[in-house]
Amino acid sequence: MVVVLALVLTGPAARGEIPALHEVIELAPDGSARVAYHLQVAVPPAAGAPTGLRLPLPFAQTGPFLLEGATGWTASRTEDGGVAFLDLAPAATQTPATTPTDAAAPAPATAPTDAAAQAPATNPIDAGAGSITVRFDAPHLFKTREEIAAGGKEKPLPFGDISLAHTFVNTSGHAIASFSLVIALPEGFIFQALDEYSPKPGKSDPGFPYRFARLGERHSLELLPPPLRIGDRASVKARIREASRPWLLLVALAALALAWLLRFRPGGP
Amino acid sequence: MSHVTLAPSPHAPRPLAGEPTAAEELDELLDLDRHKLSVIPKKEPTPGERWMKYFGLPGGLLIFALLVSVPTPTGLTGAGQAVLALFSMCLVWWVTEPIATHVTSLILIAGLVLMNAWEQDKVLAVLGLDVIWLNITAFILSSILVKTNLARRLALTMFVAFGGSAVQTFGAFLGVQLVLAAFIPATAARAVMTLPLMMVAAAIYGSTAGQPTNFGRNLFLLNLLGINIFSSAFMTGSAANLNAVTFMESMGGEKIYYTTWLLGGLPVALITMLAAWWLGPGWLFPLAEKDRTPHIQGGIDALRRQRDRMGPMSFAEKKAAVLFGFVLILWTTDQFHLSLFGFEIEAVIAALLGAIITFLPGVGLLQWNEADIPWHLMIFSAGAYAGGMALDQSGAARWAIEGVLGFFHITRETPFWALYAGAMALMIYSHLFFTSKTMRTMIIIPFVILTAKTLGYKASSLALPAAFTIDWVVGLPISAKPNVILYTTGQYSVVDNLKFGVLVCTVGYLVLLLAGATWFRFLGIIP
Repeated sequence: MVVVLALVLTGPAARGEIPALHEVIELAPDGSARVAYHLQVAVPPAAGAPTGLRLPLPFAQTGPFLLEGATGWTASRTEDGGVAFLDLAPAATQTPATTPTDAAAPAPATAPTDAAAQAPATNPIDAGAGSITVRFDAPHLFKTREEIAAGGKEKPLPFGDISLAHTFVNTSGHAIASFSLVIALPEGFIFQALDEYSPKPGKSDPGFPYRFARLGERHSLELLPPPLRIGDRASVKARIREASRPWLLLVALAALALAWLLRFRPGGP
Repeated sequence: MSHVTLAPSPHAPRPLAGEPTAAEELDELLDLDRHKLSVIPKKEPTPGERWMKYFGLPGGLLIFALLVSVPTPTGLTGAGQAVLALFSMCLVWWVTEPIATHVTSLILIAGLVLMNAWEQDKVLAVLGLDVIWLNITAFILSSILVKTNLARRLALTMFVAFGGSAVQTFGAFLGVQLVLAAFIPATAARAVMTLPLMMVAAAIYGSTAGQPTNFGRNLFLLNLLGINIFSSAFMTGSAANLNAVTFMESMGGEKIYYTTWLLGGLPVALITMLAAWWLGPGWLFPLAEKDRTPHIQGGIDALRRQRDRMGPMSFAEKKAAVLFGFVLILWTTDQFHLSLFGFEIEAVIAALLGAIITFLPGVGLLQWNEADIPWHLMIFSAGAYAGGMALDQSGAARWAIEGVLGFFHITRETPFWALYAGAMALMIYSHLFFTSKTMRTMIIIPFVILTAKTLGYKASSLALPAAFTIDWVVGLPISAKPNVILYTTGQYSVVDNLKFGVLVCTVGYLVLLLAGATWFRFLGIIP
């Protein structure tokens, strides 16, 4: 929390607004995930705005950052006060503080160049640059039951449940007008329960800020909070599990029903 | 009819030497201690009920198996799927009763934990909800009425004062039911308390089980209507009312005050019952000339003598009256507590204070063993509650209501009045397909709240008027416990019940529509 506050206070001034930021996490059965940030960055320019924007990176990351959409930007991993961030900046104004700290972390990725787009040394938020998508792989978003059992330190959850939690903190230095988080489970997995989520709806809010849906064949959870101010967080904590039919229970129930029908027939013995 | 044998009340007036046998019979009829709510009566099922039980258990299991084994639908969690399966199974069992309803509730409570549908601590905490406490304390308070004979005195006094003619007799009974509804939340208790008086009145007017007259039809059906519909006038009129209030508070985030309910529900109930009082004897079951006056000479006098033999109010009765007055004042002034005391005494704490005084040595009126608390009803309520809350917490109720809204194409553009009319009709007439008010409340009220919230309306704008009709379970003898009790008198047929019940429900529906456009808007219930 202190780190977040410090970043908020010392980070880029909140002069502009990110129209939309959508985070999509597609999980694999081994606990790894493909993560994508989809940003719309077209906003009215603001005078004197500093460069770059910073997004939280609350998980380890492998492989390069892949950028799509607007050209001439770079994406890099940064650590500040022990907290990892994804720094996005136009190539010519790469944030000096950017220091890849992980041997596995790649060098800053640069999107395919566009002569026109490389020139401006201004805040991408204020540049009217359009849409950016940053993709990367994360090796560990949840621990499989086998990993928990092998580790020997944690107790596995009952009923075969697996704990899954994710938090997005708006460290970008700008308000985000429309934020969404989508977590898609591996095929064959379901959400057992949503234990916590934030922000909670107010008394006057007619609905809930989340919904369970599908992303193709996968069960997914969409968190749709109201606009995020600087420092606001959106988080979910859920239990997931592999879908399975309770065959043993079904057989027992069938036997019980049969026994009842045979034993308690009206007028019977 | 329940057959409960209990020792006569020590407070029952003793017949005087030389009094006619009828007075002794009247004494016996009026011995309210004979009907203990905490004792489950043994009832021989009819052939139809036997078959319902026979197919009910495998039917419930089949529904459970189907729902739990299909792939988890989009939008539903594993927990939600398990809750839906369990709740559906228990719903079938509650209706068909292959096992006792409270045992079904226990199965649901255990099932929620064992099926990973809801956390154990939350499931078990349901028995500690304020609605359960309010039920317990209300039954303790009603035990005082029975023990001290205050209920009997009240009923006799009103009947003797206003029961001169047939129509006046009906009015007197309705008055008694209205007063009792304010104090006693258990409709079955009110039915058993006033049943002896009804039977005496029917005999006085020549209506018997063998040869029922329209006097008997009107008397028993008006009492049936009064017992049920007057419950809707008071927030504490039935446990199901409190269930609805809890839902509005927990799901809708809105506090419903006793007086808010009273001001909204009482006029609707009164107008509906006044209409019933006129419709029954005046149109549906017109009274023959001979049925307009007592057939037994001095019949009313017999009741007057009975009242006179009770003598002046005993000290115990006075204490009971003061105690009830104290609790009632706290209930009816809830909106002013904050300004008066600096804190609010909720209905449950007010009743708890009354119950505490009841048991205080020297001051109180009851020993613990004399408190008639039907624990099986508490367990049944807790199970039904746990199921309803788990449906909500798991998102299963929301998933289902979204499905219903999608099916009927109900959107934010749907006019409020269409929703209001639909919700009221659903709530009122659905009682014909339920045997439990609590279950009907558990199923429909959360959906109504979610519908209102989903469409951007205040939850109580639809749910509170709908809750006013929870107790309108008047269409069939199986619709509620008082109905069963009164039907066993043989004074009216199922068709008589259905005709009068549905007619009054329709009148009430129209009154509710009118109130929705006028009185409820004035009160701020409807925006």
